[in-house]
Amino acid sequence: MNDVIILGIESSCDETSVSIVKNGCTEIATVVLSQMDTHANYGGVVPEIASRMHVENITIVIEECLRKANLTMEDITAIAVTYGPGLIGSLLVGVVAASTLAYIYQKPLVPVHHIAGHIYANNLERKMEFPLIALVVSGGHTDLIYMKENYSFEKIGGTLDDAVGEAYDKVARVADIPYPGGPLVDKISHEGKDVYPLPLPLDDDTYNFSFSGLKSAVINLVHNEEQRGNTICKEDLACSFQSRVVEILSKKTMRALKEYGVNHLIVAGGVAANSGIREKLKELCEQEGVELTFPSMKYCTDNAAMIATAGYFAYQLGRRAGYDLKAKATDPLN
Amino acid sequence: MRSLLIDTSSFVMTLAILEDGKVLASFEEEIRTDMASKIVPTIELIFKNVTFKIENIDKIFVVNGPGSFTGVRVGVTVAKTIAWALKKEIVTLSSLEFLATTKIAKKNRVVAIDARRGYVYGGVYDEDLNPIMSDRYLPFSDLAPYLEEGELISRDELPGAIHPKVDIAAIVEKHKDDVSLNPHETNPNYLKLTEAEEKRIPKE
Repeated sequence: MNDVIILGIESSCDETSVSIVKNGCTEIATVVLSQMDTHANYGGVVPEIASRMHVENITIVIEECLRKANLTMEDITAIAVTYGPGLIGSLLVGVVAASTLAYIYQKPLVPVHHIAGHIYANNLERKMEFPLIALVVSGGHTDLIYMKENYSFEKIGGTLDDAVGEAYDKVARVADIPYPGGPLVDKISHEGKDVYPLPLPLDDDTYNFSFSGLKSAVINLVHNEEQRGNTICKEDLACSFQSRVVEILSKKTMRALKEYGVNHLIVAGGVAANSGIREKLKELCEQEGVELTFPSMKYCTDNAAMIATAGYFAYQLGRRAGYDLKAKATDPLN
Repeated sequence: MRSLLIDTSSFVMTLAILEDGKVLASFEEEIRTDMASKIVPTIELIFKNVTFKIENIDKIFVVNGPGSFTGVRVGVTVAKTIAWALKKEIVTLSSLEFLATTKIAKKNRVVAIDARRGYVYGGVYDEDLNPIMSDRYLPFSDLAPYLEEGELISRDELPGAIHPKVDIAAIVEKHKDDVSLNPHETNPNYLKLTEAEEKRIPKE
C-alpha cells in the first residue's frame, strides 16, 4: 500500500501552523509560528491582528515545513485544512491558501474540524482504539464526545457557557495573574491550599458543564476580600478554583465511561496540558482500569500535525471539499 | 507577457487574465458574501476561457489595499500562494489607483473608499495615473480642495461620487515593468492600524 502523506494547515486562532504527517500516525515535520508574544501585549488574542499575522506568515510556514520534511508539494497526497470552528478572519487565511494549493497542484482538499484535530492528536502518541470517550478541553471548548468508531463523533455533553480554558483566563485576570493566565493558575495552584469555599459547578446528571457560576464566585470572593481589606492568597485561590474544575470534569468523564461501557479515555485540547486534570484522571483511570491517553505537551496547543492526522482519516473516508470550501466560525463536529 | 490580476478589496471581485496588454478573460461581479469561497473556483473558471494554464502565466498583479481588511487578505493570500508555489513574479497595486482608471472628463481622479465615521481611504491621481496625493486614511472633507479640478470616484455612497468603471488593461500597462516582490513579503496595505494597536499607542 502506498503511503498517504497529508499536508495539514491550521490557522484557527493565533498559531499559523503547517505539518506533514504520514499515514495518520507518523509526523514528518511540523512548523508552528505562534503569535502569543504579540497578543500578550493586549491581554488576549486580538482577532484582526491575528488575521494580519496569518497572511504575513502563511507561505513562509508552508515553505519551511516542506523544507524541514525534505519534500515537495508533488510528494503530498492531499491537503487538509481547519475550516472551523475558530476566528473567522484567521480561518480564512488557511482555508484560502489550502484551496489555492489544492487547485494549483490538483490535490484533494480535505476539510477538518478543529476539535477532530485535537482528538486525533492522540493518534500520534498511540493508535486510537474504539469505542472511546474524548474529553476536549480548551480555551473554546469543553466537550465530552463518544466515538463508537473511527471518525464518528457523538457529542454527549458540552459547556453551557464559558469553556474551561476561558474560565481559567478570566479567573487569572481577576486575580491579577499575567497572560497567559491559564497555565500560570495551574502552576501556582500547587503552591496553595484548597481553603476558599467555591461551589462545585453544575453537579447534575447531565454531561454538560457550566463554569460561569464558579467564575462569578471567584470574582465575588476577590471583591469581598478586598472590601474587608484582606489580601487574596493567589496560590490558595488558584488551588481552590482548580480543585473544583478538576473535580467536576473528572466526575462527569468517569461517569460517561461507565455509562457508555467504554474503557478508553483520551483527553485533548490546550487544557489537556493542565497538570491537575492530568493527575486526577490518571489516578481515577488506574483505579477503574481505564486506558488513558493524553497528547504530549507539544500537541496540546493548536498545531497542524493534529489536522494532518485527522485529515488522514477523513481522507480515507472519502471526505473532500471543493475549492469553494467555506471557513466557519462555529460548526458542529460530525 | 501573460498575467493574472486579482482584486478582492471591495464588494466587487475582479479577476482577469491578460496577454500582451489585452484582457483575454475576466470576471467582475458584486459578491456581498463569502467572497473567500468564490475566488479559487472563479480563477479556475476564467482559465477555461483561455488556451493556457495558470502555470503558464508570468506575473500576478494583486490589489493589496486599501479596502476591506478581510477582502484584501483573501486576494493577497491567493496571489502570494500562487506566486510562491509556481515561482511567478508578483506585483501589488493600489485599490485607489485601480479605481482611478475610470474615464472621466475632468483632469484629476479623486478616489475614495468609505472608512466610516467621516473618514475615507483616499487618493488623487491624474489622467496618466500619476499620484497627485498619495493614498492615505483621512477625513472625507479633506478631499474637497482636490474636487475643483477633479471628479470624485467611489464604489460607496459618498456625496457627489460617480461609480467607477475600471480599466484592467490600463492598470496592468502602467505597472507591467514594476519589479517583482518576494511572495513572502507581499502583504496587504491596510493604511490603518488595528483598533487595538491604535488604543495602545498613547499608553506607551
